[in-house]
Amino acid sequence: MIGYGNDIDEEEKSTFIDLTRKHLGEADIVHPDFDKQVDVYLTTCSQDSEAICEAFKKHV
Amino acid sequence: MKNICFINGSLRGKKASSLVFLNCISSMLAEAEFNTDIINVRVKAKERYSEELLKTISRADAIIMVYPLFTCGIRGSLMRLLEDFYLYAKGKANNKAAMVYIVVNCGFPRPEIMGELIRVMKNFCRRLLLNWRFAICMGGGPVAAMTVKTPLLNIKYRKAFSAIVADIRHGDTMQKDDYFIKPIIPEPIMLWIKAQYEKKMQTAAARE
Repeated sequence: MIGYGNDIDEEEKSTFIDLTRKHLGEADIVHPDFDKQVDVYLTTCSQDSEAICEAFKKHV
Repeated sequence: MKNICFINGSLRGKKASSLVFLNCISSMLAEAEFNTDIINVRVKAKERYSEELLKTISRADAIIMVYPLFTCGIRGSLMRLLEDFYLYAKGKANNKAAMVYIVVNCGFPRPEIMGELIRVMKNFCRRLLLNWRFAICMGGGPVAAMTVKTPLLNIKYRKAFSAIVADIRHGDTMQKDDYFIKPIIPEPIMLWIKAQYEKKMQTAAARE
């Protein structure tokens, strides 16, 4: 899961990641049976894309 | 006279637990001291909220948002209102640093699940230079709504709601702790009721 926001600060970034990562199953963000197979990222600019792709490759 | 703006973030109309909490807090505000406005969120808001309505929020001395937890966060209808208000208020030099309170209920027995939601609201306040005060988080929403109306059983709720009124009245600045109120029914019984309800729903769905 990848969030995006071009003007967010560090606290907003960590809030998004914590909220999504912590409540994946309970919040029906993903199916509860798949919540172990999900990770969360947040990008603020296109320069992050490479690092996100590298992380994504580990899951597929 | 201080302006208080309530935001009712529930879409359940008169059946909403949030409305019970809102009315309870509103009844504690003396009419001679406070001017109150209530804003209800809309379903499927295709158009932006009106400037007049957003102005009502911006001129408030205190904003009290009352709403249910939705997927561990904020329901889209309320999010739309907050986004519209953000676009309306950002960059305006004459914004009031309104005191902000949230009163949130959820179906889960443990209100601590709302920890991240509080962070979301704090972030929102920081962006608009609003004065975040504290949250009242209540587990077992419908049970809490019934308890609020029951003398002797409602002491924790009344105490928390009174804290909002006192905070606004005195214009307190010292940071205060959030309130986390568990339902009066023990958690195992709450979970049993939930399981029975879900079982009933599944049976009904299977019949269809």
